[in-house]
Amino acid sequence: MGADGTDSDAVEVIEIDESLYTEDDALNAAYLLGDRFYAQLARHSSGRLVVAFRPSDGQVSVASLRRDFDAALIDASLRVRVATSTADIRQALLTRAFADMAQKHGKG
Amino acid sequence: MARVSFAPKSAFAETGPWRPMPFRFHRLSMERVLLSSDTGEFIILDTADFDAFVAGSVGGDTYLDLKSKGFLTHGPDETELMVAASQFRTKKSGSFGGPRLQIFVPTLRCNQACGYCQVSRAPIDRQGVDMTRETASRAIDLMLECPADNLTMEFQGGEPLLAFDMIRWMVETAAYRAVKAEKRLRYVICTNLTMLTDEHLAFIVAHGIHISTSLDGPAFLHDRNRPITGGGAHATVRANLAKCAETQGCDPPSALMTTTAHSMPHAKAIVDEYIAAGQRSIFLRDLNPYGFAARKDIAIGYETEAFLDFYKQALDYILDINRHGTWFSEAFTTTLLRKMLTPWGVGYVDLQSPTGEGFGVVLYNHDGSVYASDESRMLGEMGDQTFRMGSVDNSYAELFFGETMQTIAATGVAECLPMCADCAFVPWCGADPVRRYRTQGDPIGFRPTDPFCRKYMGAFRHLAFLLDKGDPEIERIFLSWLQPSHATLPSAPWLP
Repeated sequence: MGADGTDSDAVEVIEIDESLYTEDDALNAAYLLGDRFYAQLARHSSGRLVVAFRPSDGQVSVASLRRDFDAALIDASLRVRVATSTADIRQALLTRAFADMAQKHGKG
Repeated sequence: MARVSFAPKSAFAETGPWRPMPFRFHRLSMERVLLSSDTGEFIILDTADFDAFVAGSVGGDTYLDLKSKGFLTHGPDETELMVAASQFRTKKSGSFGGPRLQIFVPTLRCNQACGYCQVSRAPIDRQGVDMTRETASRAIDLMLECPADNLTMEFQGGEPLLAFDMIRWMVETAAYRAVKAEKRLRYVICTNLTMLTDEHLAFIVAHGIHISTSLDGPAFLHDRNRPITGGGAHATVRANLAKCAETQGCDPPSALMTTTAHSMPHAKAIVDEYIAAGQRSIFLRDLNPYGFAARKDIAIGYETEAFLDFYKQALDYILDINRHGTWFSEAFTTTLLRKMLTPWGVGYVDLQSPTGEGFGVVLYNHDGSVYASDESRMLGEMGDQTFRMGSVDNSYAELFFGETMQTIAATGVAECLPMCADCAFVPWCGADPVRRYRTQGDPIGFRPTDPFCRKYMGAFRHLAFLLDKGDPEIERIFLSWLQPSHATLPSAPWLP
């Protein structure tokens, strides 16, 4: 375990700017890189949120890790924003779709 | 024929504020972004237009395109919501009404010894691996309890023609009982076509049974993949395909190929073989990780990326053949395009959400076990009964609302799975808890390393890339594959 509470074998430790991104954004972005890296989210004693990455095997290149994670983080945040801002429409749409389906199949 | 005219796009412009409808996105490249809606519509935008859209400032043609495809609204009003709900319901209609595909395994015996056999077939003289008439009778009754009006009764094996007397009895019994149950039945026999006799063929024609068979490519490849005692399986299959074609009233058999490592260098030769055999279509199918194909000591496996390369190479060649005037389709692509370009659902088990397993398909094994899918049975034959729903002695409710189906239902809705929930391809994709359990150890799985996800994302990305080229020839060919009854190449109505 490293001094900041993260994996001591980590090749990269990235601090999350929580004025821009949430913990869920960081989790979702780290998940997307799961084919190449093990990721550990940790809350530093100072309160900072960090993600520590360790390659899943020796062949993995770490050259583009920071850039890939930044891109994934932006998209993860955008996905949440879109989902939140359209949640009422999705709810209304699915309610109508399933209400009719249930009636059609005798469960309404 | 009069050409239909539509009002210009500008006629659909509205004033006032708009907001986005629910959508997901996927970056195809640095320059292009694919957006999909919950109803399965999609649009591919320049990154700049995408950024403008999410910033709420898109205008001009992009605004009109997004509006016409339901990606933005000035409401939504009740009409818009009802239209979108209807589209969603239509896409999902195949997932409701019970399993329309009913698979029966009259015998596990087989006369071939394929290295990739997914069902761990039994030798031809093995006792105790044939379905009894009592089991078959009970299975037919369960099939007819399914709420759907139209059902497909499919015979698999082993080699089902080794149990032809049982098939004859089951078809005749099911046809008789279906009248009272007010069901319409369609029959399919999945056979290796090496044992077809005139007696079989007469029965097949009399009952309108469809034949599905395997043709892995030219003789050197087919006979290597699908050996038979005495050799010559390929020659027999080709002769029997010709015999079916010459037999009046025989529905033309459909063939599919299984890709092994041996197939990889021979994409063109495999396609040429199908055309020479009189086939109008090929299904480029990868190996399933079950049965003998799951054994680590056989050298026929490959990585998902290798299959995708093979698929793209074969598809390019098939598109070329069509460009030169010969109508010939690829069934895997057609299935994906039907998802992407039409309002309809597709009854392909892999691509159902809720999952097709138990919801779209059920399998009655030779020993009376009932499984949620063919793949569940394959696991069962490997000694893992996780997805065994019960036996033919159980009631319909016990089978379809039991513990196994509860597990499948809880893990079988793609829109609720990690990463899938945010994936732009999810309106067209499916959940496959059985496959994920097999390859990743649990029915939910871990998407970044999931071969199922890599395969389908790779294929959807490739088709999106081809459609994004705006090549009218490719669009005409793809459209013609969606209308196999007109085996011509129609003009895309939106093209000049």
